Amino acid sequence: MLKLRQAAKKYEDQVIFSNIDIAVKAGDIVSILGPSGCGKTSLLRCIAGLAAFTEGELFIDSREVTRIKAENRPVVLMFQEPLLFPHLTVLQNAIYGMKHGKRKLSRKERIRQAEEMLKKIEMFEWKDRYPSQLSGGQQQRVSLARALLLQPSLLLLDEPFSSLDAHLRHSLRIWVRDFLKQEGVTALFVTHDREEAAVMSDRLIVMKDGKLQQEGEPREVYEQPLNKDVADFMSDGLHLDGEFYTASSLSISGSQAGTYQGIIEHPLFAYGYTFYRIKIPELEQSVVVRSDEVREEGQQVSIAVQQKGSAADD
Amino acid sequence: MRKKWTKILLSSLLFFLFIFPVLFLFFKSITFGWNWPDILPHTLNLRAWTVIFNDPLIYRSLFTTVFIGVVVVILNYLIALPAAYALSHGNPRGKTLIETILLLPILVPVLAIAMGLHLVMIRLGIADNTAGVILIHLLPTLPYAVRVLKAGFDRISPDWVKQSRTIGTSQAAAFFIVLLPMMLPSIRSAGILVFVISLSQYVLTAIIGGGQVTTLPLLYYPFFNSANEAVVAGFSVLFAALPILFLILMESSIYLYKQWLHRL
Ligand SMILES: Nc1ncnc2c1ncn2[C@@H]1O[C@H](COP(=O)(O)OP(=O)(O)OP(=O)(O)O)[C@@H](O)[C@H]1O
Ligand SMILES: [Mg+2]
Repeated sequence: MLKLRQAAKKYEDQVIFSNIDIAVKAGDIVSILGPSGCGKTSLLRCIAGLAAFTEGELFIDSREVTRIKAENRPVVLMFQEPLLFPHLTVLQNAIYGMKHGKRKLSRKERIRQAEEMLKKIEMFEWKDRYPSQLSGGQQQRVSLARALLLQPSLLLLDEPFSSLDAHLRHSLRIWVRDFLKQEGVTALFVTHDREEAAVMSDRLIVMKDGKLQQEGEPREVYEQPLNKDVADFMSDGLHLDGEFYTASSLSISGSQAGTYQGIIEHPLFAYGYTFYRIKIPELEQSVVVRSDEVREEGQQVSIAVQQKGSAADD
Repeated sequence: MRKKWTKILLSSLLFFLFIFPVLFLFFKSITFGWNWPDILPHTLNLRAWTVIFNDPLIYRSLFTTVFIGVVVVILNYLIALPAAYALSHGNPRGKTLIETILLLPILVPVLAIAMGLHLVMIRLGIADNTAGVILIHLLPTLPYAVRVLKAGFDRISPDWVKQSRTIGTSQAAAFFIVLLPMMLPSIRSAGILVFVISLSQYVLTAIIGGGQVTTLPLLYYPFFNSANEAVVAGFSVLFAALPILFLILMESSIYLYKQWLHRL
């Protein structure tokens, strides 16, 4: 489907990313996850053809497209903002790509397909409205419809939910994932939110400082981060003697016994449980651990670590 | 409350500066012997307008003026839109140099350039005719058109065109359907500015036109010495009406364009 080989991008002397190899299977949603400024947007724009790779080869559907112009690649990029054309109605926006692009359809067929798509995204009643009359989430949905109507081989999404409020972001990303799956769309999705990456994707790729760090299924990356950078960004746990222990192998064991001494920084409430962020001065690390006991801020606690290899269910 | 007063003040200022003079001139042109200290004119008469409309030279010059103005505006769009777009969104080599060259006609006396160009045009055989006058009118208009349009493009994010391209549309579609509607305010300003500048050219038209191309200003200044104030006033009204005619022309084109834009 998508195959990227040894890709690199430089602006003058500054290397944005290098040695990037990515393969995406048809029908998969793959997330690229990384901190701000690591080159995610640049990579996506190069794949879309809006910027040129300095090195490397890009194949889409087994066809080399490295030197092909953006408008001729079977790829659509959705930007961070919906970028609906403000002077066109929702329906006109949806049709725009079919009308002025490569797909030659009759006027009737264009309208039929666009209206059907607007029904699917539950925006049909809004078809004669202008983008400024829609909420941010509705705009992003129309933007998705406009992209999918072109039946791209690959859909690229650059943090499409980052301008929405947290609540809407949660519901929309699940909706988008289900919709992409239902339509069988292959997608490459960029985000710096690890929860979003885990929710959205079949596989994820962690990137830092312009290099790929690890690739795998979300659970695999979470439980077995390959290096400290991936662990810090993608997982919860402690680094001990060059090994990483996920938070599930840690427990708070009062103030007497236990391996490491820590101080409770603050509680966190999520999904029906209470967690505590604990600072461990001797390791110069912080970790979030679940606990059913009520604890005070500033309280001294000990952290017990379950050694690897011992059974997890005892 | 303060807003309202500002509004009233501004409107009256506009009225006294722009509308009142034209109205005054209009009344002046249809009266006879309206002299100080009379508050109202003694008699109304259309003699001045009969003089004006019985002169075939005026008809012809009206047509020539509008024709030259409209062609100059169109040429300005054809040159300035791509130039301004490249200067604003692109990164052409020698950006500063291009901008300086484009500013030059505003900084250097146009007359000096025109004299030189006249010699060239005589060689090329486009002196003393309309084509030459149209070309020379680009000199005082193009810099302003590029400035105004560049400022317009500067306000538009380059992502719009990128979004259009990744959707798979041609560059032309991106330009005409995505960028142009966002540029309409700047396009309007540039158009009217260029038309008015072209309309008020006297010296350039006189030199390059060599007396063969008679636009309205060329007739107007000699008329100014004419004793008949009513005729001069009528002439001035005619002058003031041309930009309005141009506005109507431009707005109709924009209306048609918008109709085209909204086809599915
Ligand atoms: N046109 C450009 N010219 C020069 N440098 C650029 C250009 N575009 C991006 N960069 C640089 O490339 C680096 C990566 O930027 P990029 O936008 O790809 O990061 P990102 O991972 O998408 O970050 P974020 O999560 O904040 O969106 C940045 O240091 C940026 O300064
Ligand atoms: Mg980015």
